[in-house]
Amino acid sequence: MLAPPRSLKRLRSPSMEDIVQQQQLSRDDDSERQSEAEEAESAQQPHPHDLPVLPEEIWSHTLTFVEDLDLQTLARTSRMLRRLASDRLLWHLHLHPRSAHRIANALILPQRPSRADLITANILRTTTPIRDLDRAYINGPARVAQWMAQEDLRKFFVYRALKRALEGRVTFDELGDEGFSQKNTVRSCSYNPVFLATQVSLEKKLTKSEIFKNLAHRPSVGSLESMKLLRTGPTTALMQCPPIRLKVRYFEDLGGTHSSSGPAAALSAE
Amino acid sequence: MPVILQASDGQQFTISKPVAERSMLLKNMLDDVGENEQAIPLPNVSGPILAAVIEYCEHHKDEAMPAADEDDKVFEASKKKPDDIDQWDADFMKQGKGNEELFEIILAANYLDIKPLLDLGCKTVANMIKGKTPEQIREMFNIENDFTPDEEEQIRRENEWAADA
Repeated sequence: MLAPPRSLKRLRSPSMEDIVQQQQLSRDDDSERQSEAEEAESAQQPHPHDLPVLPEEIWSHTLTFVEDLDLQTLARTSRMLRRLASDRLLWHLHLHPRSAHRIANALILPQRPSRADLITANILRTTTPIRDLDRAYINGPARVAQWMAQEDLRKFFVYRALKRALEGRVTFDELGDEGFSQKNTVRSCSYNPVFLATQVSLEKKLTKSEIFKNLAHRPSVGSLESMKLLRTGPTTALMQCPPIRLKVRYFEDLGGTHSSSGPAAALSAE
Repeated sequence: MPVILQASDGQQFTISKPVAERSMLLKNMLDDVGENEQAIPLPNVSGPILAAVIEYCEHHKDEAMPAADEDDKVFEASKKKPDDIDQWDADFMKQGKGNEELFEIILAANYLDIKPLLDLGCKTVANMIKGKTPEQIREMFNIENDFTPDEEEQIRRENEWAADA
């Protein structure tokens, strides 16, 4: 069986001669290697030593019958088959028309895999149960808390850096002591007319907020009454000591327009 | 008018002309040479293989010859399905033929230019390939793995995505 192909190939067209020779050589190599391998693995199966190697043109003809998945497998077997199997023309002329129907069907059918499918395909690791939503989603409460903590930390560091930088600066007094500038001019600097208005309004605001903060902790007449701590009746107490907001509004009104305003009016408005 | 074929091992077969004309090689030869009593030597084909090829040709002798200018129809997708093999052809390919005989028949069909038989052989090979691993295919068809380690690595990476599927 082995002899005939040898003589057979002599009859081929001369242009094929080289290829045939090469194939003959590679086949001889191959069978040698296979026989070695077979001896190593105790040679229990009748291995096709003398299996003729199909020439390239027959392989390329065969590949026109092979399906796409098997073509990809074939492309991994040897260099020649890799070249033949990845031929664009082959795919375009044979694979595409044959598989077009199947591909079209596959695309029309519902394609989205379920979460469980993704897990079995090893694409997704786990499901996201409802209880993890707050941890996993950006606007969930846990994420918001984390973000706020981050912001606080960032603010803290900015604050500390600023404070350190400011503390590093020399004060006006030190500048005056070292004779860089007159103490008086330095003093006047702190009342710089450009910043005066801003400074005053800022001070007002700060004082106001300070007052409000202190006053807010004081009990109201109602709470004192409910705690049975008042000596007089609640109405008298209110008359003598109206709620602080009313008082403030009264004085604010005094500062502004002098229209119908006064403690009595404010009280009646309450 | 019978035609006498001589295989590589000297075995002689006498067949009728329509059977011989399934082979484009023999058909052209008979056209060129004309009527001749001499045996046609086929040094590429051994006796048992030639017998099988003749069996195939005998069975298909009545069918219409494929047109010579069929090249544009070769690309018709419907002809290329590997699973539309005639029952008789399938049995013919199956009966006690190892890979070796199959390949010899394919080579003989290629040499004798019998297109349907070549297609049948190729379809059979395609069906054998179906669903096999590269290692199995190498073993089955006596293919040498001539990839360098670098190429192997590259192929492995290209196919990684499909490994689990």
